[in-house]
Amino acid sequence: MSDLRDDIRRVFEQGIGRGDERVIDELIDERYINHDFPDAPPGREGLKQVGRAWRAAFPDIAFTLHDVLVDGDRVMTRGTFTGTHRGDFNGIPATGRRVEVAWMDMWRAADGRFVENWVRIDMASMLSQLGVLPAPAAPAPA
Amino acid sequence: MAGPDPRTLYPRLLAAMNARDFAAAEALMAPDAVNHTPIPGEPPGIEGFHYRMGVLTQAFPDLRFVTEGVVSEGERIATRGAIEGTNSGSFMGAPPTGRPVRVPYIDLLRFVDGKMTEHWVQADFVGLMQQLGLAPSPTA
Repeated sequence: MSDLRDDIRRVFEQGIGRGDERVIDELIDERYINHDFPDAPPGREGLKQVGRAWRAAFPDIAFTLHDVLVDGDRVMTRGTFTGTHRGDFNGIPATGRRVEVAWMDMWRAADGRFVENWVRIDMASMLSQLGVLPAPAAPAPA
Repeated sequence: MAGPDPRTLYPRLLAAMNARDFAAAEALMAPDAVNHTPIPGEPPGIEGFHYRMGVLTQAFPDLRFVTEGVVSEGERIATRGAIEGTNSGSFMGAPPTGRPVRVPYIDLLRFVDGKMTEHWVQADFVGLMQQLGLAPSPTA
């Protein structure tokens, strides 16, 4: 039985971060859905498309996991991604700005592959770093 | 693991917050508990907890926290949930809208010896502003 802690790290660092889609094929289930990206197609193809879109927007994107919790068939990650905004992102033309954005998410696995996840990205911070939203009134959290 | 299982402590903390029993909630927090994701203006420690609950309950007096999923390992517990309530008070300087809101979040807490020592929350703040009509909704 594969170790979910290692598997989720590979999904982020290799599958999404570096675009190694064999990792997506290996670790993502055909039925996979991201509950918070309803416009993405389901399954492995959907996650591959999400990865391609993010890498096109931030070609040097890198994911760092700060916390990984494993609880039976469920995994939680807390992390930060960084990247330079060199391509269109959700309709926002390239700004050339560098972003550092926090996320937390939860995944469920079945038979060694991830079947579903929920994700909360700090979009308010990301959009203010891109110059789209005003910065928050207090300093950003560490 | 030092102390009781976070799986039993977390529901007690949430129940206390939903009941507005802030003394019971405080009893489950270390005095120097760290919030890694404070809201604007929030001071550190338990004072910050009271500040945050004050801001939220003023804006959403019927505020309740709902848990929908849990991942727990050792001292740490993460939950997937939502804040639900009605915007019948002012929020961020804007007059009340009267609108119901649902703000999904994921949080992560560490408990040591029966008390929360640190936590992070990632809530859909932009979504909340959209629900209140304070930020434009996406066109896509």
